[in-house]
Amino acid sequence: MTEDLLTVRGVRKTFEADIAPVRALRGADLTLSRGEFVAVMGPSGCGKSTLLNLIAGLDTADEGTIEVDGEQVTGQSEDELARLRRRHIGVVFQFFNLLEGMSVLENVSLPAIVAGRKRKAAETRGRDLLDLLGLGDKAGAMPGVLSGGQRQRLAIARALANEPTLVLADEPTGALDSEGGLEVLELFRRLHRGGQAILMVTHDDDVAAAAQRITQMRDGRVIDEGRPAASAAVPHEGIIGEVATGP
Amino acid sequence: MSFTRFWWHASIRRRWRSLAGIALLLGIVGGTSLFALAGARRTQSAYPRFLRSSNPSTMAVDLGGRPAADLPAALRRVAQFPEVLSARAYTGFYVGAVVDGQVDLSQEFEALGSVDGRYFDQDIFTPTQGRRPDPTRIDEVAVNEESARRYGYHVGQTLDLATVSEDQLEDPAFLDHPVPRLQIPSRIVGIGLFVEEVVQDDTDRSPLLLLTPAYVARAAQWGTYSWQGLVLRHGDADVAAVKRRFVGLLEAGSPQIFRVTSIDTFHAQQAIRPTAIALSVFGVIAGLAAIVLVGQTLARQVRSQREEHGVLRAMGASPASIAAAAALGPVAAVLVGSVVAVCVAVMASPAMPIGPVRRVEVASGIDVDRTVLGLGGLLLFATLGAVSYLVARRESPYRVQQRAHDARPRTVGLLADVSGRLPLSATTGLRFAFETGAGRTAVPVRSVMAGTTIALASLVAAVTFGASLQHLVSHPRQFGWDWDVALIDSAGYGNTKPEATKALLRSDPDIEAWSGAFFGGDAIDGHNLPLLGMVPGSTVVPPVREGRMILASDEIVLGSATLESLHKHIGDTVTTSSGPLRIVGSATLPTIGQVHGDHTSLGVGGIVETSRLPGYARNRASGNAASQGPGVPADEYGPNVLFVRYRRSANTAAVTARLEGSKDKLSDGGGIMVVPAQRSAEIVNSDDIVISPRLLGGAVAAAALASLAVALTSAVRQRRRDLALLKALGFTRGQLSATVAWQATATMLVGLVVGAPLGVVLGRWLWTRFAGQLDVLSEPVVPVGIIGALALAAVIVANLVSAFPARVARAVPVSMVLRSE
Repeated sequence: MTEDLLTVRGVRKTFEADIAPVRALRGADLTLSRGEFVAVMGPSGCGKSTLLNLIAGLDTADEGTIEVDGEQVTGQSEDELARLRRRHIGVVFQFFNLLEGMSVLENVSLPAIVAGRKRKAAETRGRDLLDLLGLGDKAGAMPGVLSGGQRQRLAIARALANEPTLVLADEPTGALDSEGGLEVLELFRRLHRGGQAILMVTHDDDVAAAAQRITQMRDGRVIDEGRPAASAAVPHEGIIGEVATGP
Repeated sequence: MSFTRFWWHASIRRRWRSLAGIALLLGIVGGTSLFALAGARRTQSAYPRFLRSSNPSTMAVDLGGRPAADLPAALRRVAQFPEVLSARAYTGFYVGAVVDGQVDLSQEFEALGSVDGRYFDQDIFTPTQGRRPDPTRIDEVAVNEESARRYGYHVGQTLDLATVSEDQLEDPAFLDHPVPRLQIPSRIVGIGLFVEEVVQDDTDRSPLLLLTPAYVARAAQWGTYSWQGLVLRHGDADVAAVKRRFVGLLEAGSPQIFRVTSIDTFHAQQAIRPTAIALSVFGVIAGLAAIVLVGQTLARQVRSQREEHGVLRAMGASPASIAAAAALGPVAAVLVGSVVAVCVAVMASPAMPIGPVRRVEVASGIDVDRTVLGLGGLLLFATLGAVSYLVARRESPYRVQQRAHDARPRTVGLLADVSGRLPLSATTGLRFAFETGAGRTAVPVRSVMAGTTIALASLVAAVTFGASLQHLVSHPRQFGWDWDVALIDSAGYGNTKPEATKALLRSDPDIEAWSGAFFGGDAIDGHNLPLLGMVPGSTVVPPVREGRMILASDEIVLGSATLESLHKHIGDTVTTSSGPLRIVGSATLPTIGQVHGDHTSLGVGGIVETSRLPGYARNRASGNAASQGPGVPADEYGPNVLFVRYRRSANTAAVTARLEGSKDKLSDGGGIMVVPAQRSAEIVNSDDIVISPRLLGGAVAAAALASLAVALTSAVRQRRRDLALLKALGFTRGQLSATVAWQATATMLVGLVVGAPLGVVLGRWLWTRFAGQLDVLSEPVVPVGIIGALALAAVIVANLVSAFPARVARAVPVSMVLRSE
């Protein structure tokens, strides 16, 4: 039986612009089950990234409801949204958004420290994640010396620091060459195999193919939710199984 | 807290340079502010501190010329008044330097011999070079700075001093074969200032020489006159009583001449106050500049971390923790900067005080003004710390996003009209200047324009104030001198001859009018005041500010400071020794009177009918003392001074030369001095006052230009995307430079259009208040030409200042900027 981790219902969002308002979302609906890996596809300007930002609570919907793991995202205060993100959401950006002034280990430890863990515990968790993502030897390095693929792997490790129930990835391979892109997609597959729920926005068919389900968006609406997951209960193996018990 | 600490440790590596820069900027600009504010307090308090250190007399009484044998008893009698705590006297001598065996009387200094320690332990002489003479040595002297300036004296120089007696000088044969009574080679061991010379009226400026008590013991019999300085038990409150007792000791008809120290102190403080106020204003403006400049830098610093804060938000950091993390570095920088500012102010403190009091500062060197530095440092930290937190809070990702959502693109209506008529670079520059943008490209347009406007207003205000001050200095009428020259008989102690005066002045067609005045003083409502005695209806009188001049003998005109201190108004009555008088007007009084005696000046003193002036009819000019003696009525002996006004068409120099040639016909013995406008201590000090607003204006303008340059550079960086787009669309490098130049020009023009009129209004208001405090006539001047030139220069400089931001604009990497967007 499928258990919905994410439910998006009738979400609308309009941005003011110079000439006329831009209606980014016009009643989007979407569901995602626990452990599911969903790719959201669609042409530029169809509202994919806006939808992702609304789910993460980084922007507010004009209408509609969003629920993550039974918790309402819409209508919450900024503080409540911050707590919700710590518990449930890990975000991977297209351009990595690493903190260039901090070391690799500091980057990956930061979310746990934000969540209130002690520095030592957060760094232990960070080292484990770096080891598992193949960046263990780069812990003391600065992000500037990493390759594109390594940088995005670091960003993914950072997103996993608080064991989120849902990883949101916005064009995670958009800034990478093909080798780096494959590296990242392989990592997502491993995460998925480990039971990690992932919602990935992309406009690249090859990237989307890595997902369990592909959802199509156009003109601010989800027009096709795609094939349902064959099974919601993916056995916990791979990377998530390995790091599920953090300090 | 753990997150904030982690963020601090992790981010300080990358940000310490920019934070150190902020601390340094605050240290320098804030330190300048604290330095100026502490300096203002030190400057304003310098004179009272100096005065305390010199053990000043509360008042001095003129013992006149009396036989040397009588002097000790006279001094004792006064010293025994119950109000007197301490009394010290000096005696004047005719002393000249012997040059080539002849007594050189061309070096006309006044030799003051300390009888019993005056100038050594009371009214202490302050050497600015060398030291005070040893009071036990007959061969050591000191000279005042005026003597050194006039005759080129220097420390270590030996003067062969010859003392001559009064009867020798009256002997016509003496000058042919001068043989002094006493001749002593004396070494100048110090050059310095007598107490009342620190801030001095023109009328008191004379070369002086200080002789020791040892010298006086030897030469006492040849003394000419004596003044005794008295320290009174209850200060000024005892002055009236002492005057009464002293007058009671005098023989009938003897002159009653006093000098009250507090009147000099009032003028000195009035003279110093503008400098102190200018320093304070400079300090406040520098403080505001520190807050604005550092505040803008802090805002840019916080804004530059927007992306990082967005990442933190995505990680689940709460708005409060993001704001705390963002503010921590800036607050630390502000704390360090505030400490540096205090240190800078302390290190620079030896440069204070400024102005004439600097020479006599009793505690020169490093000074720690705990009040100003403590409160100022705390204020800088609290204000900028709050600014840091508020900016951090405002720049939290959630609020930035909200503002971006709420923002509406705005285009100034005027721009829509002109956009078709101006080149594209001009239109774009104007848009950049007036449009704030939103979200990540938001530019602090309003604060830049407000800063430029305030700076230009300050500059124009300073220029307007300075021009009004220059106008005051060059228009003696404004400081009470509504005539061309004054003819003073025997340094104010003699009486002019009425008939000779009429004959001489009426015969000169270039002389329009003249009036006479007697010098004196009286207790007005119990306050001792210098007065001028004049004939009611005189034509040449000090300018009346309010009301009218006296027309009857029961009327009085007072200076405005005197009116204020007496809490009186026009129409009120005051008591005098000769009965009640009605106040009919307020005048700006000339700085003139008897040498060493109290004299009117600006707002201090009054004008009464001649017969109301105690002792007015007592002539003490030596030449006539024997023949006609004291007590001769004023209608036979003319006034002590004549105020002479020339016709407008007259050649001033020629008329003055004619008067100089025939002036001695008017004197009853001691000689006439033809003196031009005599400036009060306040006006004498005006060089410092004029410089202050200019420095102030210059500093403000420099700060404004620096702020404009920083703001333009920041705006260009914020608008990298727009500029990159313009380049991509075909804008040339020249067009980009022109765009930035138009932006700078527009900002400056708005500042000028609003700031210049505001500055004129502010400058006129400041001047009117200042003139009111100084008790001079307030005639504010608006230097239209200078303001126009300034406006032109401001626009040119703004364009020059735009050169660096324009370079930044030209260097925007199009592909990188547009790709990252």
